[in-house]
Order: sequence, then C-alpha cells, then structure tokens
Amino acid sequence: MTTSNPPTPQPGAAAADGATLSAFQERPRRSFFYHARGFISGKPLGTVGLVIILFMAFLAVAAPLVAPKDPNKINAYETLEAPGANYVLGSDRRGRDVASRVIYGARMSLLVGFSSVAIGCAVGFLLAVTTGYVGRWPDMATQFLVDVLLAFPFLILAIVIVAVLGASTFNIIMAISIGYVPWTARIVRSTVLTMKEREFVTAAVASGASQWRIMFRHIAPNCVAPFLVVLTAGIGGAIIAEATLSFLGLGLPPPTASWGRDLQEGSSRLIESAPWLSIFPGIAISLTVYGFNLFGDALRDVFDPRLRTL
Amino acid sequence: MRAYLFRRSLIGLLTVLGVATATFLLLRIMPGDPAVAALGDPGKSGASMEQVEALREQWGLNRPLHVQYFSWLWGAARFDFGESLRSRKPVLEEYARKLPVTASIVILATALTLVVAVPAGIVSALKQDTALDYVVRVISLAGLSLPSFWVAVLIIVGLVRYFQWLPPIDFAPIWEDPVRSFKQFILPAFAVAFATIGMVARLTRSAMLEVMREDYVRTARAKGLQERLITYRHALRNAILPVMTAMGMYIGFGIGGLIVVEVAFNVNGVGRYLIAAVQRRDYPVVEAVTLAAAFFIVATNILVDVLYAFLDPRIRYT
Amino acid sequence: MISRRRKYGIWSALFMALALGLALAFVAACAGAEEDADDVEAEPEAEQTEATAEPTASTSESEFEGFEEVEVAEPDAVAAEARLAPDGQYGGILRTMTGDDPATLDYMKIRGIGTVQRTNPAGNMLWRLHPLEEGRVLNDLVETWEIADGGMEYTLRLKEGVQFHSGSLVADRPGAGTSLDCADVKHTLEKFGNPEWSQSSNYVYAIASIECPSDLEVKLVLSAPDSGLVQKLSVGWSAIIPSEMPYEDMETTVMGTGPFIFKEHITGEKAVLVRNEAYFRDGLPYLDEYHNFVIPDWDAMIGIFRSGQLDMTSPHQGVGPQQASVIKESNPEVIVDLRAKLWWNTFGGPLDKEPWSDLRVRQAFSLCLDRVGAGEVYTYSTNVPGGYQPHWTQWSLPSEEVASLMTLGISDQFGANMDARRAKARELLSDYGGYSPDNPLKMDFMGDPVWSGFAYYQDTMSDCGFDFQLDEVADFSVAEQRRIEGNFFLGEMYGVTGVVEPTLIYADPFITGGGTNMTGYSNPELDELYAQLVSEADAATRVDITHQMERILLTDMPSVMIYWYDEGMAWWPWLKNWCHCDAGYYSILNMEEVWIDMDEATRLSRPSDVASISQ
Repeated sequence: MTTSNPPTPQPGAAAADGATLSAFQERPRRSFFYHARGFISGKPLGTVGLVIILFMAFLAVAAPLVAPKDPNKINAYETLEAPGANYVLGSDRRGRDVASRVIYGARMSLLVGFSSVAIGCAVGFLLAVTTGYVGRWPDMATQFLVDVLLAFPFLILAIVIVAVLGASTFNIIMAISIGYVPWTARIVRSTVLTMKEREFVTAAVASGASQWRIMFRHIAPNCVAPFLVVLTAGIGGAIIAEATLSFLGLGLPPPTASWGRDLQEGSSRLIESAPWLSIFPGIAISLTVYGFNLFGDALRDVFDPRLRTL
Repeated sequence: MRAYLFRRSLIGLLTVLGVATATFLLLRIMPGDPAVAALGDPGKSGASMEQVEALREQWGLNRPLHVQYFSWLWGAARFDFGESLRSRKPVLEEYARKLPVTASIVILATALTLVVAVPAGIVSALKQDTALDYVVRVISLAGLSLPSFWVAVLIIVGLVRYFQWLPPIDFAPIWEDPVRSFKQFILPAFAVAFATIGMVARLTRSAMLEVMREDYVRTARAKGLQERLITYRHALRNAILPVMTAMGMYIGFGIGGLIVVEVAFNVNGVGRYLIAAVQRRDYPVVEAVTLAAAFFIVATNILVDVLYAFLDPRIRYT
Repeated sequence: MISRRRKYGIWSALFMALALGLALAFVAACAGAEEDADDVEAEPEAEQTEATAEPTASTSESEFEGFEEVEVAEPDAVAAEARLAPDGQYGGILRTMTGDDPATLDYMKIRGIGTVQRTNPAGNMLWRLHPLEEGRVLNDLVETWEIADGGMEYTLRLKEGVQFHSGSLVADRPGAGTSLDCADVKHTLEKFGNPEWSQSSNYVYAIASIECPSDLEVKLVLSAPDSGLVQKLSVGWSAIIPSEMPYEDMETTVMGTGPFIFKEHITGEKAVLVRNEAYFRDGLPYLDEYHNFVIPDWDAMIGIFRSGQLDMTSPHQGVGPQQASVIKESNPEVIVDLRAKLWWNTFGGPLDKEPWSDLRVRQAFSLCLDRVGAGEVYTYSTNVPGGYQPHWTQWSLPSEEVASLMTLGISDQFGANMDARRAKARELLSDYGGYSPDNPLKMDFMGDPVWSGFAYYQDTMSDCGFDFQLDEVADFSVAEQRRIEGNFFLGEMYGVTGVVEPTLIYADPFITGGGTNMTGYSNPELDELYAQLVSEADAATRVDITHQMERILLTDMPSVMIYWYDEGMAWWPWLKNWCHCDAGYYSILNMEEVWIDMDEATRLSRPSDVASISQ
C-alpha cells in the first residue's frame, strides 16, 4: 500500500487526512504494484473486501452511467412491479427503479459512512496527538471527554442529535461521527504515549524542534497506522448506523436514494407483498459492510497486529 | 484496592455528571419545542400561540438556563427526575416499570453472547484454519454486517409467516412466570446478540491465539500437560480477560441495537420509552434515561475492572 | 498457508452466494404472492362484499333521510337488531390496538382514533349512529326527544336511573356514583362547544343556550336551525361526563356512564377498561375486559395480530389491499374488510396571496394534476377519484361532471386528455403572467412518508410551467411560521366516512374560519350556501345545495386530489357481533355488544387449534 492510494477512493479522503498522509510519504517509495501484489497474495480475504469496496465505489462514482433509469423518477403507472425485464430489481411503491436506487444509494451510503468516520477519526486523532503529547491538564481534559463520550451510548447520542436538529445529510454525518472520536482518541493516545518515550522524539526535543513540529512531523506519522485501521473498520459500523437511524425515521431526507432509507421504506408494510424493495438494499448494505470488515481485518494485520482486540 | 475503587467511582460519577450536563445542554440549545410537540398536531387541534406559551410557563421552560439546570441537578441528586411532560407521571416511576423489561433482554442477550460466542471463538482458535474455523469466522463477520433492525424484522416476518407466532405482548416478569418471560424475550435478545456474538467470537478467537503463543503455554506443553488442561487452565483463563473488558464496552454498543429491536418487537422497554420521548421532546425523560444509561455503562466498566483483579492475580490496583 | 486462506475466501464467497440465492428464492416466492395480490386488486369490490357479507348486509346502499325524518329506534329494538342472540357466549378479554398515543385522554381536545378507542367504551353520548343504516340515529342516553319552534328548540328527556361509574376503581374520581341529570349534560356540552376545550366546538356552534327545566330534562336553544346537530352529537366526541368533574381532569382520567370502567392508562403501553357491572342496559356488556395496546410500528401491529394476540386491527386503519391479500393468504379465516375512505391532499397556503389569489393559477393547478396517476402513486390504484362527497351517495356529483369541472370542460374523465389539459394550464399561467419560473413557488410539507407524492406533484407540475421548491418542515410551528411568510403548505387529510352528512365534510376545511381551514380559504358564496345547507330541512333541496357547493369548490380551489380509497381492518372470527360499520365511530361505542367466542386459554394456545375452532 502506498499512500497515493488511500483505502477508499472517496474524494473526501484526501482532504481529511492530507496532513498526516503527506508526512507518511517520506518513507522509501516502492512501486504500487509491488505493494499491491504483496497484499493480494498475503491477504486474499482482505483483497475480496477491497474488491467489494472498489466495486461499490465504482457504482457510486459511475452511477449515472451504470444505472438503467433515473432513481428519482416517479412512474405513477408502474408501481410495485416485480423484478423482471422492465425493472431488473423491481420497482418501488412510487414506481421508481429499485436497481437504480440501489446503485445511486451507494453514493449516499458510502459518503455518509466514509465522511462521518473520517471526520470523527480525524478529530479524535488530532485531539489525541496534541493533548497526548502535551500531557498535563489538556490530556486529562481529553481523557475525561473521551470517558464521557464513551459513557454516552453512541446511538442514543446520534438519535438525540438528529431528532433535535433535523435529519439532514450534514446532521446525520455529524451525529455519527461523534461516536468515533473517543475510540480513535483512546487508541491513538496510547500510541502517542509510547512514541513520546522513543529516542527519535527525545533527539528532536534535544535539537530544539518546536512542539508542533514534533507532534506533526515525528509523532503523528507514526500514529497513522492505528488511525487507518480504526477508519476502515469503522466505516461498516457507520453505514449500519445510518440504516438504523433510517429505521427509526431519522434517515436521510428524501428524495436521496440511500440504502438505509430504502431498506426502511421497503421493509415497512411491504416486506411480504413486495420483498424486493427491502432485500436488495439489505444485500447492498450487508455486502458493503462485509467488505469493509474484511478489508479492515487485513489492514489491521498488516499495520499493527497488536490492535487485534479492537 | 479500596482507594482505587473510590477514585474510580469518583471519576465515574463525574463522567455521569458530564453526560447529564451534555444531554441537558444539547436538548435546551437545540431547536424544537416540547410545548408544540405536546399539543399534538396543532394543524388539526388548532392550538394557539397563547396555549403554547402557557404550557412552556407551566413546565418552567422559560426560566433562565442555569436556573433550569441547577434545579434539575438538585432534583436528580435526590432521584427526582421530574414528571414526564407527556404523561404527567414521575419519570422514575415510569422508568422503574420499563427497566425490568430491558434488563431481561440485556441479561438474556449477554448470556446468549457468552454461551455462543466464547465457545465458538475458542473452537475457532483451537481448530485454526480448519473448515470449522472458517465457518465461525465467516458467520461472525456476517453478524457484524447485518443491521440489528433488519435481523429483527426478518425474525418477525419469518415467525409470523411460517409459525403464526410472536412473543407475548404483555410483559411477564421473570420472577413471576419464567417460561413466559423467556418466550417473550429470547428472540429480541437474539436479535440484539446477533451483532455482539460476532464481535465477541472474533475477539475470543484472537485472544486465544495470542495466548496460545505465550511462553507459559509453551512451557506447559513442554511439561507434557494434557492439551485440554492447557487450554482450560492456562490459555482460557488469560484469554477471557480482554474479552470481559470488551463486553463491558459492548454494553454501550448493544444499547443502540436494543432500541431498534424494542421498536421492531414492540417491547415496552427503556429503548422505546426513549425514542418516544425524543420524538415528543419530552426533556425530563430523555435526560433521565441517558443519565441512567451512562450510569449503567460506567458501573459495568468499574465492575469489570474489579472482576479483572479477582481473575488476574497479577493485577493489583492501588 | 495461502491455499488455506483461499479456502476461507471460497467459504466467504459461498456464504455470500448462499445469501444471494436465498434472497432471490424469497423474491421469487413472493413474486407469486404479488400475482395473487394483483388478482385481488382487480376485483376489490368482490373482495369487499365477500368479507363483509356476514356482519353487515347493507351499508353503502342506504340513503340518508331528510332531517325531520331522522328515525329513532327504541333502545330494546336496537339491541335486538344489532346483535345476535347472546345466549351463553363467552365474554372474554378484547385486545385491540392503536398506533398513536396521544398525550391526553381528553377526547374532546384530541379527537384522533387513538383517544376515541381508549375512552369511548367508558362513555355514552346523547345519541349514537345506527350501525347499519346511514343517517339513522339511535337514542343513547336520551329517552325521548322532540324539536319545536321550527328547529330552534330541542327538548330531550334523559333516561332514568343512569349512574356514573362507581366502585373502588373510580373512588377518587369526581362524580363517581352520581346519577345522570341535566347538569351533567350541560357541563359536557359547554365544554364540547368551547374552542378552548374542544376541537369540535364548531359542531355545536348553533347551540345558544342549554337549560335545565328539570333534573331529567334538557332544553337546547339554537341560534339558527342546524339539521345536522343530532348526527354531530352522535359522532363520538361528546360522551357525557359528570358535572362534578373539572374539565382539566379529562386529560388524565375518564369518567362516564358507559359499559366499561376506565381502569388505567400506561403511557406508551396500553389502556385497560373493565366491565361496568352496574351498566344501565341489563346484561351488557358481554366482555370482561377491554385492552387497548399502543403499537406504533405498523409491521409489528400486523404481526401481532396475525399471531392471534390482537383480536382486531385498529378500526378503519392501516390495512390496505396489499396487506389484506397477505393476511388472507396466511390466515384465510381472518375477516378483512376494506372500505372507501375519504382522503385528500390539502393546501395550507395563503389563497389570498399571490399567486394563488388568482383563479387562473388555481385552475391551472387543477388542470395539470393527473389524479389517476397521483392515485397510483399514493394508493396503488385502490381508489376512486371524486369530489368531496362520497361518490356512491346522492350528495356527490356524477363522476363525469366532477372531472369536467376540474378540467374546465376539456375532459369528462379523470386522467384523460392530459396533453390538452396541460396546454390549457400553460396558457392560463402565461395569461396570468405574474408568475416567473425564476422565483419558484415555495411548497413545504411535513412528514416524509408522503414525500414522493409531493415529488410527483412537483414533477407533473413542472410540465405545466409550475416550478416548486419542496421543503420538508420539522413540525407544525415551523410550517405555520413559513405559511405566514407566504409559503405554501401541503398536507394530507383523511377521515373515515363517518356520518354521511355533507355539512360535516365542508365545515372544517372550507368554511371561513373553519377548524382545519389551513388555506385561509374564504368564499362568501360558499359560506352562504353552507348556512343554507345547515338550516335546510328538505332532503331534495339539501342535495341541490350540496351540488352547488361541490361545483364551487371543484372549480375554485386549486383542486388537489380527492380520493375515496380502500382501507380497512381485519379481525379474527372469534370476535362476535363486531360491526366494522361505515357509521364512523359507532363500532367503538358499541363495544358493549361484542363478545369473544373462545375461552382465553384456547385462544392463547394458538396456532395449533385455531383452524378447527374458528369454523
């Protein structure tokens, strides 16, 4: 793996971890294929996961090209058609094409999954690196905050935030992302603490490097591994969280196609008379989360076997 | 040990206070008016702005924020969480009614997780890279990939369609009618546990594998001890420790699943209580329920730490 | 090592393939079910009559009789007519459900079906509606009554010896054990008519004063004749409370003279009512207890019903043709009854402001909308487009005329000639001129389940040159605020047919100052006709006036769709004498005549025995 190929090809990624990744690039460069071959032969399951993720990402990016129909076009006279020649995966109660909605749904689900985890992890990462290095009261304050957030049941927090603020895409991303701050902060902090004692940091301090330089030049790059692991493993959870919010009526606003929302709409009242409405978004969610979990496992093994108990 | 417990409890208490404060502020700062929510759908009832104002006055929602906060805090300190804005009954009384329901599900789900996941994880580790191992790993990963509500919905549809049966809707406390109680809660518990089983099985497996590579296990083997003895006396006892810690943490995670499962199964537990309260902006209920949830999470974690010390003689808290 | 990992990969692939296969099999299996559903849809009429044949023979055919011909049956005759021979039947516990859980038990303040279901079995009203014959009213607490002074004065004689609930359950409730007298009726009707305490105050706007000549005599003096008064007092929101009971107590407790005593209400869970042993009708009620569970999740409700733990679904609610076929398929013995129900989309916008103040814009809107298509989107074609009055009654204009009115004569069929209609709509809009697509009309809506319907509006409207910006609003206060700012609000309105009495359908949404008149619609001509309709006694003239009002509304309102669509309920065959009647909330009031023909233990040991017993 080189850093020129972030784990998920979502556009938001570069912005979110640009700071850390640029530092990461100081390592000796090997060809991309060298790493890729290593990964594929060493982690066949992770590769399966990566393939699933890439496939979904492809669907998301190329949705307008791949989707057979307009996902939001309401066809009054073709409601609830069973899967067949006209509608490959059937049509929903408003006559919208399920296949197209599943394909477009990849956009929203991946966006919400990825960006909420990226934001949450980035905040947790920055918090842990800075306060963990500085120590003393900032560190204690952060730890207290982490404790509070961990004691706040993740979904309850998300529900309260979304219910109170309203179910917009932004609010949902924010609500989910908060759940990832404490986990990342806790894991990264322990890495920061060990790094702090290492010789190269001591050397940097001795050479008169500024605190910020030490934090972001020396310590942060070494914490990227756990960060990436949490990130990948967390996306699956975030996609499920989005679906769960949808189930509780707090999902993404219409008409956006999202798997969670479509699954909820399809499973409500029509699960027996029109099962294709819920089955296909359900499969899409499970498959993608499965992919992220497989890939996350592999990534964890590669980067840091000690993190296995996560 | 005692000093440690004291310190831990103190921090725990502070944490709970932090959660309470955060909830309180979250609810007050954000838009949405409980008075409007309580008057039903004013589109049909035609509630006037005066009525809404009067209700706000009655509920003390127009007092300054800090006054509201401290009076609430003072009440909470005496276990007086106020009255539900919706039912006008004490929150504590209503909560006490729902808690046994949710507790039944949590206990059953935890038991299910332990009974299924730990053996599965151990077998998976012992038979590493056999077909059995793959099956366990694939299924446990699948458990993490299915949303809880979806599992619940599928269970319900299957039961109704093929057995025309669903768990009884009237709550039966376990101390009164254990059989009925079991019937009522085992399926919701399964839906909740589906995800945690996956997590814990994976965790047990990796912990076991790690422990099996440790020196003392190798020593035990070298001594010529029976493999079974090694497994249970040496490996398992050590592997179970991280699993326990994680179980403590998963409680918080499980609560999320609990809410949707209670909604799907129409179980009158704390989760449904909370959801209804959030939807109606029933502040006192939301505050009390999150406070209680935080309390249970913190308490479980402290309990796990204490248990840890008992199970692992190497650990000495000071 | 790697080969083993590959093996894991194969397992994983196998698992996913298995899941996919199962899913496809499930879909295939259910696609078969879908075909069945189509069959049912094709013949909704047949399904209906078949399902309802047993309990109610004649419903929709009956005609409303004129005002002075309101028939009043003697109570004993009613009982004999409405119920089967009650020999030796088992009483039992009736388990019903409701989807919403209103914050208050005050059935005058919140008149949703949730409140009615849990409070009405505890009360009696002055009159109630005949279960089988529309327009016919039965005496409930009234013994005899007469109208004098050209419909300006009603004198009612109350039944003697009727007592409010008594006993240990209600010991601390005010008025327990007292006898019904005129003061109670006065106390109740004064609340019912006060907008501060009642959602239905406009039902009794005509009552000027209530007098008590003697204990059992009530005199209602009207300010204007109101031919619908007796019907309106029979609908179910005016159960009599004791005069000792303060109005605010109705929020948390229920008192009445009815067949069941309100025992408890656990918010979010259930309400429990128990038999009133001292009920004034001897031998009634049959049931021992009446439980009303709160089940907000629709699928949970249907699931629990099908598992036999509910005796019926919520009256008039929630079961559509698709669900009916699913239920019928797995539980053929269940009785499913679907009925036409009024439903329309409503505007909550300023009809007095630009652009809607211009008739051309409103007409363009009506022209542009394909009601058949919208019906498909909303109710999967299980509906009949029509006017505001039930299409099977004399009150309704013929379907051709309704269509023709809405399309300015372009077509006399719904959903036809859409191109010509849209062309005309564009023409009207460009005539109007003041509307610019750069400045889209702002349309707010509440509640996302109906979202796609509104999106359909947006879609089709854009074909005619309307440009809507759809915004979902969080709650009504926000919508209200935005409405004042000039936004339009879209909502849906629906109701059971209730009483087929035209004034009830017009009163709230269209008359100036009506209870749910969110458009601010105000048409003096319509108000005038309404006043005439209310005081007119002659049946033929009333039909005529109603038709005139329909014509005005259909051309003048930006007519949104109005449907009579099929929705209904299901119940198990062991529930006896249950009447899913058209006459509004009669059924719930009539709980006293229902019983369960199966003992508790057998019922709960389902499903093994059910098939044999139910037959």
